[in-house]
Amino acid sequence: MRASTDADANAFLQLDGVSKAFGDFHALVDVNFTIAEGEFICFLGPSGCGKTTLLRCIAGLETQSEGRIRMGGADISWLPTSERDFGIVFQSYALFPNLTVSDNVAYGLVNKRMAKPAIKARVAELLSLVDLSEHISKYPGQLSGGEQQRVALARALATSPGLLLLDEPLSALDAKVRAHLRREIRAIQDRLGVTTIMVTHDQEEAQTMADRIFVMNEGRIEQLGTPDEIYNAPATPFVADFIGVMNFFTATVAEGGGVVRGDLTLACETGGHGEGTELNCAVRPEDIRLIDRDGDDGANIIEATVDSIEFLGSFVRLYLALPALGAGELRADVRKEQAQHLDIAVGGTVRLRIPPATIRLYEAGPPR
Amino acid sequence: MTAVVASQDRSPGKLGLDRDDRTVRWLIVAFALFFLTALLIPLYMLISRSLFNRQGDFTGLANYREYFETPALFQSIQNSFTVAGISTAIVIVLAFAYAYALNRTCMRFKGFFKVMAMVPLLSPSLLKAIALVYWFGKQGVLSELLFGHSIYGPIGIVMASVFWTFPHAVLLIGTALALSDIRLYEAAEALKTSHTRVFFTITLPGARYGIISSIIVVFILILTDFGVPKVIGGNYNVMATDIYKEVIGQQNFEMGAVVSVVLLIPAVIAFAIDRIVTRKQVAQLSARAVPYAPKPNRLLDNTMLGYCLVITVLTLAILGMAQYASLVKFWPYNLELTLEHFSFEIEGAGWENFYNSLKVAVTVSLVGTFVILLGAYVVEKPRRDSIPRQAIQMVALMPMAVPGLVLGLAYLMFINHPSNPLGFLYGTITIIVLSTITHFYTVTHLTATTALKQMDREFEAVSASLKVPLTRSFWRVTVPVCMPAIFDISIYLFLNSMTTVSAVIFLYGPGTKTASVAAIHLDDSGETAAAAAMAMLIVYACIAVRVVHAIITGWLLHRVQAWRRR
Ligand SMILES: Nc1ncnc2c1ncn2[C@@H]1O[C@H](COP(=O)(O)OP(=O)(O)OP(=O)(O)O)[C@@H](O)[C@H]1O
Ligand SMILES: [Mg+2]
Repeated sequence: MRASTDADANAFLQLDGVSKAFGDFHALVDVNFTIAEGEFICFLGPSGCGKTTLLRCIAGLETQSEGRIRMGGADISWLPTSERDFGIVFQSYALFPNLTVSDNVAYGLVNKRMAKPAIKARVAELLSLVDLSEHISKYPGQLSGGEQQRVALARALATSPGLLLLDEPLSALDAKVRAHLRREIRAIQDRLGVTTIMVTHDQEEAQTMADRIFVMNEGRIEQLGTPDEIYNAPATPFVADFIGVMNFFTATVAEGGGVVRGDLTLACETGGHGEGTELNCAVRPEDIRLIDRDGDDGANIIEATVDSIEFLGSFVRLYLALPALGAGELRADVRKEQAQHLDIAVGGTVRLRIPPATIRLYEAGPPR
Repeated sequence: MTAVVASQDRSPGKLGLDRDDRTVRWLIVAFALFFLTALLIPLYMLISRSLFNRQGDFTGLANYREYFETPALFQSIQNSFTVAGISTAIVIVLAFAYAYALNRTCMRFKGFFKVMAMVPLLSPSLLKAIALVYWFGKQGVLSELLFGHSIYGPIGIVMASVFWTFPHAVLLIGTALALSDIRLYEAAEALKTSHTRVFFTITLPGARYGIISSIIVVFILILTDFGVPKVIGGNYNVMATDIYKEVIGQQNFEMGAVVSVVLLIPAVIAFAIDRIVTRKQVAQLSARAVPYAPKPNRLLDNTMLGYCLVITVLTLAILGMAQYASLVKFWPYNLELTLEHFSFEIEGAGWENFYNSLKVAVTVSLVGTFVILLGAYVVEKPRRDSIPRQAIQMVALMPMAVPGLVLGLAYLMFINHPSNPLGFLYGTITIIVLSTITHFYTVTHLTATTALKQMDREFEAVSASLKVPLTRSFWRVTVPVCMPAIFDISIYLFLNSMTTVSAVIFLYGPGTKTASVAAIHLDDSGETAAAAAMAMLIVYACIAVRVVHAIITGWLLHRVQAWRRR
């Protein structure tokens, strides 16, 4: 067991070996991380991976079965919710339907024995922060989903909590409003500098908003890193597969470097893996280059047959067949103009190059 | 860093308690005490009493043996089940047609008929019995229709029972008929299914849980009712009247306890079934079901209009006769109208009975509503699961299975127990209020939990994160949001407290006799006109409160609670 008492001096929030079991079911398994003050963190993962549970443990709405939680240097593991310092926004917003927008926002302030004018000023300030000043005396039922969401945000921020927790705050909204609110929430967070944790299963949301993303799977944190790191250097096959689109195939380490599968040999950096080791190879579709029939010599040039074509707006996705991989196994993304230029058609052949640096190798174990 | 030190010496695995947790803890203790005093200990005393003889020696099942060997008593079981069975069959058929008309046709004046179906709720069950005596008794208006049979006995009990349980059955079946998916009917129509076939393959099966549930509820209501057989039963003994006779007539508490337990058993079984069935009914309707909207059908709509009109006329005939009976000088010889029956110049009866009823009803409706809402809140809302809370939920469902008369007798034994420090409560309004709240606890508790369930699950979490105490959130949010349910509960409690007889008849003391009990006694001593007058006072009060209630509800929901409008 790790020493749970050493606190990281720079950490605002620190989790040490936090686990949560519901009966026999392990919703969280040994979660460790530290968050610095002012960071914007996203918990990202598929449905049911334990994001909400983790958030609720931090809020004290759920009790961890094992492990410790520290905030601002103090151990809050066993502190009840009402004694922890956070504001929270739920997916359902949980606005009080019988109170006006301003009463909702003032709900936590009234309790602080603030003077009436001070409360009024604070409410006005918050509502202008979330751009809702003209709706101050409406009831939640009279607002749109996006507006309700912002009221909930203002209410959570009213008491100036040290930590802001957001559980899928945007999932109930339509795409346009969602994109707008992403920017708005991030702007507010930047302005206030409040440490924020947001739960989402939308990778685009996480990519555009977070300073760091914690990718979760089956109760574990698979990887934590900046959006760039998560995308470009996924630490596990799960992350590689979950974030963006990824081609996967198994191959063995060839003698003298590179990997081989059937008659296909690919040059790449094999790290410390010994010859003959079976590995999982991963390549993003957009990293595969299509080249002219006679142009560009170099490593990893392959010929493939086009199985089918998908039009995806500004680019097209080719499903390619290679003797070594099977039909439709390899996907490659090509810009529209290039596709036109190369005159790609179903059944035709294409020449493509996989830059060695874009091939990532993972140990081929049974996935967790 | 004091927080670190303080929190680290807490035993791991348990979250610390905050103010709200302590509040909830106290409330749980309070409700545990409440249910112990108001239900569990009295019931325990009743059941154990049935195992002792008059001298207080433990005799095991000897009393039961004696009971089953006494032909007269044993006969009562058969009688009880006979009248309850026949009445239930009749009332379910009548109520189904009525509820069908209200929910599945385009009949005109639905609103009016909806209200008229509920009229019998405004009067005690014994009022129907009294009115029937005036219609069909020896000197009744329509006695010939009985072809020489007496209204006193099974015929009268069945007729009166049908009248007073009719609204309950309409409500229950109506709920089941209202919950239906139009898409089933559209599918049937697309397949060119005949109307009769649709009725038997879709309508009836769809409402089956509602029908089963209403059969059970009505059957038990009649089986355990006391007012009707007391007034119109004549020599036809049923279990409910046996309990009364054993206890009041012969002071045989032990035998009273035995009959009570025998009556308790079918009631408990029936309500256990009812709970299971009700749960199924809820699960049956998918969230995306499209409610059924009836299409006009000239013949059906007009037939149903005629039918509902007949039922309404019969309902009003009962109420009207009771009113007439209370005003006629000396039926059937002097039909002059007079108010003298309302002066109650009779030993043991008077306006104070009516005032007592009002006192009880108002207190029950105010205190009871609060207690019940709080109890439901404790069961439903706290974030931490705990065994005591689940226990409270279970106990809250029990009173429904306890017949009023049985509860009353249990209270009587409890309060008269020599070592009970609460003995001073005997015969007070307090004990009547307590027994009445307990008696009607389950239905209102379920209404309250349903309302609380519909609130966002995270309100409490939000409040805790904002450091607002539970008590404040309760008043500021829970109560306003649950206002419609609170009104429903309070009026339900008021009407039922005004009309109930069963528990109170064992518990009133000098000066606390209620109007419904007084009416029973007046009728018992042959003062039928005064009994009718007393029962009519209850009706007036119920109508008045119902009207005021409707006005306040409307005003509150539309003006004060503007947020409900979108
Ligand atoms: N109170 C509970 N009792 C039992 N199991 C639970 C409980 N709460 C959550 N779980 C289980 O724990 C797992 C993680 O749940 P959680 O709500 O944290 O998922 P999530 O990542 O937030 O998913 P989603 O994206 O769908 O909201 C799920 O399998 C869920 O069924
Ligand atoms: Mg979730």
